[in-house]
Formats: sequence, C-alpha cells, structure tokens
Amino acid sequence: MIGTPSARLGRLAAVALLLVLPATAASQQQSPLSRLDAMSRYQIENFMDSAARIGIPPEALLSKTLEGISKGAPGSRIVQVVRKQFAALREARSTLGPETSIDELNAAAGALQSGVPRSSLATLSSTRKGNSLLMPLVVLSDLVSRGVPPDDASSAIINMSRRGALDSDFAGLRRGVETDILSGASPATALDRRSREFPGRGAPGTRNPVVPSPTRPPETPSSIK
Amino acid sequence: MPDDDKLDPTVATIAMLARQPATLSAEARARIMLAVQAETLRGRPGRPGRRFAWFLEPRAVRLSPLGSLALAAGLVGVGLAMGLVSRARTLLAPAGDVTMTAGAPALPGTTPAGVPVVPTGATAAQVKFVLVAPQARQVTVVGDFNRWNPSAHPMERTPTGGTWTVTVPLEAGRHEYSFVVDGQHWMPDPAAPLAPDDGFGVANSVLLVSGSES
Repeated sequence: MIGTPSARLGRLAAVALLLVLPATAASQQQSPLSRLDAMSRYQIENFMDSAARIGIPPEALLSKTLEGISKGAPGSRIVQVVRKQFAALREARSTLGPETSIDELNAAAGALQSGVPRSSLATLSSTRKGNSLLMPLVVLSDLVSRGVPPDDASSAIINMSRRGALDSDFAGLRRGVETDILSGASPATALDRRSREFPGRGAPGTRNPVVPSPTRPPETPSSIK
Repeated sequence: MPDDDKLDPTVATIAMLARQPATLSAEARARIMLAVQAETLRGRPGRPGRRFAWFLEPRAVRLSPLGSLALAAGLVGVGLAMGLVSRARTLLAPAGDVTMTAGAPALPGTTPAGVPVVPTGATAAQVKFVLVAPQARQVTVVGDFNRWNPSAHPMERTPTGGTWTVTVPLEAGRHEYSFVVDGQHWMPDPAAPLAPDDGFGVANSVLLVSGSES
C-alpha cells in the first residue's frame, strides 16, 4: 500500500469499522431461533419462508417453534411439530378460503390436528354464513381435548351453529360439558346431554363476531388440582 | 522491393501507375477533410465523458494480502448484516396492523372460567391471569404474547394467600398460554379452554380477546 502513515491509518480504521459494524448489527438482530441447532433452524426457516410465500403468516410457525424451545423440546421434535403445524395451516386455509383470519386458521389447524375431519370444518364454515368461526373452533378443540370423540364434537357444534347458536352458547356448552366430566360423566354423554339443552335461536343471519361478555367476567381463580 | 526490370511487364505497369501521386479536385479534397474532422469530433469525449473519465479509465489497484483479506471480510460482513436485517423484517413483522396502543383504556379482564372472551374497546386489553397455587414458590405466565419467554411476566402472590396474579396487555385475537410453576412445571389454566395437543406433551390454554368491532 502507498500513502503517508496517517493515510494508511485512516484506511485501516475504515476497514476495522467495516468489520465491527456488521458484528454489532448481527448481535442486535440476533434471531430468536438462535437457540436451535443449525439443521433444525434451517428447516424451520424454510418452513416459514414457504409459509410466507403462499400467504400464511409465518408468525404462527415462529410461535410454535419458540414454544418448543421454551418447553425444552429437542430440535428434531420441534421441526416435526412445526412441519405438522404448517401442513395443518395449509389444509385449513384450503378448506376455509384465503380470506380466513390467522386466528381462525390457527384454531382450524388445531382442530384438524386433534382429529376433526376436514369435511366438518367445511360444513361448519358454511353454517356460519360469514360469522366468525373462532369461538366454535375453540370450543370444538376443547371438547376433543377433553375426550369427546371428534365426530361427535363436530356434529354437536355444527348442529348448534345451524340452529343459530351465538358465541356465548358455544361457551356455555363447553362449560357444561366440562362440569359434567368433572362430575364423572363420560365426555360423549356429557356432550350429548348438554347439546340437547340448547333450544335454538333460529337460523343465523346477521353477522355475529366474537361476542364479549355483557359484564366483566367474574374473577374466578384457577386452582391446581 | 524487387526491381521493375525483373517483374512481369503487366505488374510493372500497374506498379508504375500506383506510384504516381493521386490528383484530387478541390471539391473532393474538401469533402474528405470534412468527413475526417467529423469522425474526430465523434470519438472525442465530451463534457460528461471528461467528468467520468477517471472512473472509466482502467487502472491497476495494488493491495497487500492482508488488505485484500480485510476488504473481503468487510464485504462479507456487510452482506451478512443486510441479510440479517432483511430476514428479521420478513420473519418478525406483525401479521396485521394491530398495534398496542399506549394509553388505551385499561379495561378490566381476567382469565375467565368458561367464557374465554375478554372485551376491549381498543386494540389492547389488560388481561388479568389468576392461578391458585399455595405451594408454589414462583409462577409465571407464558404464551404467544410474550414469545413463550418464562421470565417475561412473573406472577405475584397476593398478600392473602396462595393466589398468583399478573396483568398483561394483550392484542385482540386468539392467544395460547400456559403457566410455569417453580420454573419447571408447565400446566394449562384449569379454568380456560384447552388448546389442541401442541405436540410437546403439555397442553396449552386458549384465550380470546375480542377486537374493537364488538
């Protein structure tokens, strides 16, 4: 290199700056996936890129990944779970349509993964006539998680939706079934009994988004059983 | 050059004619000179050309091996940083336009026992999570709203007993969460709907926060 000593020093400082700046930027932008091993991270990033390309927000997959990391699952297990989640999200969207919200997609994907038939999702969607699917899907997944057979749970939710059930009706069904199960009833019996109690509200026509409670929900603390 | 005496007579005649000076008329001479002048002007760099001539002119650059190594490393670093920034924007961008509104009315909420909907008139609701765990030494709530970070929202024990609470601002939508007791025991909220099997062996709970359209 040529030049005076001060010029050489300046060039050296510029090169050092070039080296330091990226390192600083990289440390500030550390990926939340950095705790994964390289191969798992690569696969997860591929899933998220693929999701983004087809219009599914990759945040859902990122959240599932972070959940797995936080729960101490090994990388291979996280990849397996995220792959299933991605497949379920794609299936949910192809069933419910591209206009479905990410919350509904997540709920629908969960229902599919818990064993609810895809045809049931399509039928439920058709009965809601533009109303939000969120609450019925949440209750459907909860029922299946508590041991109600997926086909029974799907039929009950679809029938209630056809008879104009509101979100509060679905929430009431969930609460009643849970109470009966805790009282010793079998999940299927509890669902059968509670779903018969719903008198019907006529065909759903008007838009019925997530309905808030009319009053402040009671502060009912949970307890470790 | 061979002597003309040794050449074929025909070739010698041609050579002799070729050596004679060409005579041009004044008009032809002027046309030729104009054409030459125009060609010279076209090839000469104009004002912009002169301005960038230094950049366009090829030149040799001398670098020591250490200097070239540092330059290459710097370029790689710049590319890496740009890639990281671009990737972070792609992966971490919010799904929609919902944002946490500072100073939004803090509507009271709680983890409800059966009705998993917390109303809010703004884009964020203050949701109070409650867990009764008298034997616990430490309880935190983790969920998609805090990126499943167990240290983000530690719960506080109430003065009266074993009830643990924390209030968290949540955006409208569906949220999955769980409690972590004593840093290692994950458990769903017994008073909330269960999320489907998460594949990690521990079920989560579901909470719905309604949007401003309600």
